[in-house]
This record gives sequence, structure tokens and C-alpha cells, in this order.
Amino acid sequence: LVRVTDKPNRQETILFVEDEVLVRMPIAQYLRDCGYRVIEAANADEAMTVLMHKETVVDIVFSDIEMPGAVDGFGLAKWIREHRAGLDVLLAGTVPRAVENAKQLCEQGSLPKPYDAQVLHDHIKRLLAARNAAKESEARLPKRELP
Amino acid sequence: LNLDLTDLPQLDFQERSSSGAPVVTNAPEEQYRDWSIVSGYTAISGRAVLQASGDRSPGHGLSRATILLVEDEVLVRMSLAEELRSAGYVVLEASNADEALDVLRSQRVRVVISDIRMPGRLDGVELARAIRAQHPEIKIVLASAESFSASHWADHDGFFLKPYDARRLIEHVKNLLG
Repeated sequence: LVRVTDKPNRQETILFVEDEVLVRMPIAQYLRDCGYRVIEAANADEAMTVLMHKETVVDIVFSDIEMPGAVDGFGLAKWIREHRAGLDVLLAGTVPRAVENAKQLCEQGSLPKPYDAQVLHDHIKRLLAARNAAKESEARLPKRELP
Repeated sequence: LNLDLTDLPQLDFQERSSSGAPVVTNAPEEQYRDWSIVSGYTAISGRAVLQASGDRSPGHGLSRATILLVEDEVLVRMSLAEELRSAGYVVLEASNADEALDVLRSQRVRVVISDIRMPGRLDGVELARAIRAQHPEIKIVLASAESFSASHWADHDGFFLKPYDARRLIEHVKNLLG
């Protein structure tokens, strides 16, 4: 394959914090396709573990706001201000907002946009709808008696 | 839907697009609507034109296999995921067994690498059993800091005692994929 663009000397690293795997997975992949190194964290505790790991360089933290656990996105942003001042933090409270943030990051990435952000959003909606439908259908099944 | 382009020999590949990336031009829109999300390839929105995305997979081109990595320790997951990506694989990450099962409902995965001891509803052994029942074609590699009597149990294709050498694990995955 042929090089499309020259990559920068060091890939910028995004720490992406999102508890919903079906949102985290496609957005992380999208950002990688835009040329970023993406570290995935499933909650604020994982994000803080990564940020305290001295050998791991993070340039931008991109986090969901509502997350289970003791610390939500606002709490994480506050922790970062106290412990890693100067680090850029992007917060998103909804999936459309998260996709919009990803799109804006992608526009500054080192590679051309891999696909339209709307395609990404539609894909996430389909993933979540399919998962919810599967859960509803499981819930409607009569519970099996243990032998 | 998550397919490797190699699974679809009926697609035509032109050598290069104007940007230098290979392009597939004859993908029927209805059938491949979701292809935009296949890592390393691009569907130009709404037109089902699949485009390999530049040089992100040198030497691995059009046949990158997808690996699902299930690990609750973020630094271990991060480090192994990066090693696997450097080896040319598409890596999906799950922090527990329930997340892994959610991913497997929508993504085509060739290999699952899972830690055994994890918090949550299922541990790695129970996850492997569930995967074997639903997706017998998926190869499963387990890892744990504690030894594990793997010889009595068939629902896996390899076991690694932590801490292990990531290069050995990647070699094992490569062999599993043939």
C-alpha cells in the first residue's frame, strides 16, 4: 500500500474513557483510523491508573460524563486539573456529542477522515439497538428450572 | 457485521484510488452497509465504496485478523493490545466478560485472548465456555497469574501463565490463525 500522508514524528495519544463498550469500541477505532494512538479506559479508575503510569504519555483525555463508579467524567476532569494540569480534557454527555468530539479530533488527526461521522453514529445506534433487542428477547424467555 | 475483505472474493479491487489506497467498487450497498466500521477499510458513506485506508497496516494489507482482548487490568490490556496492533492485528478491547459477549454479538472475531480471573458475572473460563457454545470457530487463548489445570478442559486453544512474554503469545496467535 502507498502512503497517504506523512505521519508526525510521534503519534498523538488520546485516552478515551467510556463505560459502554459498544460506544467505546467504534469511536476508538475511528480515532485510530484518523492516525491517533488510542488508549481505552472503561471507567475513571482505569483512566487514573493510566495517567499515573509514568511511562505512558497521554496528550488528550476524551471522556464520557456519566459513568458508574465513584468518579464520573466531571470528577475525572477535576482530578486531572489537580494532578495533570495542562492536559487537554474533552467531555461528552451523549453519544452524538461524543461522535462530534471524535469528528473534531479526527479533523486534526494525521490521516484523512476514514468515513463520515454520521456513519459512525448510525453504526453505534444500530449496535446499541441490536444489543437492547437481544436483551429484551432474553428477558421474555421463560426462566428455566435448575435440574 | 465485521468481515475481512478476504472473505469476499467476489469484490473487485482496483489497484489504487487517487489518494493511493486500494478501492473496491462493486460492493452492493444493501449488503455492505456496515462496512464503514471494518477497521482499516473505508466505505464512502452511502455509496458502499470500500477503500483500504492508506498505509496503516504495512505488510498485512487486506487480511488483518481481528482479536478480542479481554482483560480487567488496564495497563496489561493497553500494553498487550499495542503489541498485537504492532504485529498487524485489529484489536478490540473488553474490560470484562459481559463486554466481551456484547462485542461478539456484533463483530466477527478470529481469536479471543482472555484473562481468567476477572470481576463480574463470568470469569475467563466461563466466558470461554460461552464463546465455545455460541461461536465454535473462534480460537480462545486464556491467561492467568495462577496455574490452571488446562489439560482436563477442552474449551481453549492455549494457556499462558502471567507474566508471559508477549512475543510468545503473538507467535501462538499467529500459529492458531495458520
